[in-house]
Amino acid sequence: MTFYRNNPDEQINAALRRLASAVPPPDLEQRVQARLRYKSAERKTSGGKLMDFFFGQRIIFASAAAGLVCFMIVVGSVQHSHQRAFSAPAIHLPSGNGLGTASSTHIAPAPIAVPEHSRPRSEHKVEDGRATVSRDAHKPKGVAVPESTAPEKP
Amino acid sequence: MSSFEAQAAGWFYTQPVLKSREDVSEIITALVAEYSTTLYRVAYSVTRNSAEAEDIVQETFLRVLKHQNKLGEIRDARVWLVRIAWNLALDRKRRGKTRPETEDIADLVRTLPSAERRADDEVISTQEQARVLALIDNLPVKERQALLLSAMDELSTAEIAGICSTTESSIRSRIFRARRDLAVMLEKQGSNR
Repeated sequence: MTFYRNNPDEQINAALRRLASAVPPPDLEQRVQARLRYKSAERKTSGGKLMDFFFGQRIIFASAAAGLVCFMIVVGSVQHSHQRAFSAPAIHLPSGNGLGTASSTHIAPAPIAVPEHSRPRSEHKVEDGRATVSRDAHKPKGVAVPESTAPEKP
Repeated sequence: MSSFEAQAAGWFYTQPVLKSREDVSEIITALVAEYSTTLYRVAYSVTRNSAEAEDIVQETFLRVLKHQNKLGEIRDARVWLVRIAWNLALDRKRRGKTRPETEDIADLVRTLPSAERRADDEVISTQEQARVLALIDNLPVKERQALLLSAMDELSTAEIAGICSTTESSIRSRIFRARRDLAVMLEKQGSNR
């Protein structure tokens, strides 16, 4: 036996064998079962059922939450676009919930009269006079260009 | 039942076996009966303390109870349970919650079957056993895990690989390295004495 005592491999095997053959206390199973029963009863009484319900239906709740978030994003963006709507005098956007197609935009049949002392939209002048839009420049159809209040400089 | 209803049933009732609470509790009871000894040994191999090991077994099954909805998705219950128990044992050891283990080395010797004990006593004394276990604790974590789990008769190399989330060949090489390093340390200690 001296050979085995001096052999490291045998010592390792013996130590591991002892460790792995530990015998649990005889009533371990019963104690575990009892604790599980106690915990299970505790869960039932302390709102466990409600938690189970929410956890069990988590896919439905997640879908509903995702749908709600999408709806809020759409509503928010529509409201935002209403606030920032372009209000050209000759273009009438349909009044409604903000959802519509491009074909639903109506162009005024006749040129719109420009109010007095107002500057035409298509003729811009910068203070230093460097950039001007000539009256002969190509403009979109239906856009009215009234007489300029100030004479055009060459 | 129309084909649509059948399809819907397939989507929403994938685990009909686990639908009722009674079924779940029966499954957990069966798991306790089958695996509590293995889990105790796994926990004991880390903590070396009987009371700690029992606590870990109980905690493992409480986790199962907590995650009972996942029971149907578990492919290998043994691997799953051992992994939970191993992690719990490591957590306890890391937090320094473990009780002193020296008292239990003698306890362990007492709990071994007498014939087995006599055979092992001829190879290793209780003091030498404590020395080997202390050296095992000095091994790197991965090697130590592979070596300790390989000592469990209940676990195959494939299962140990599953527990450690690696391949079988990696487990074999870890065990080889662990035993080699351990033998070197033992020889060094033997020559120093």
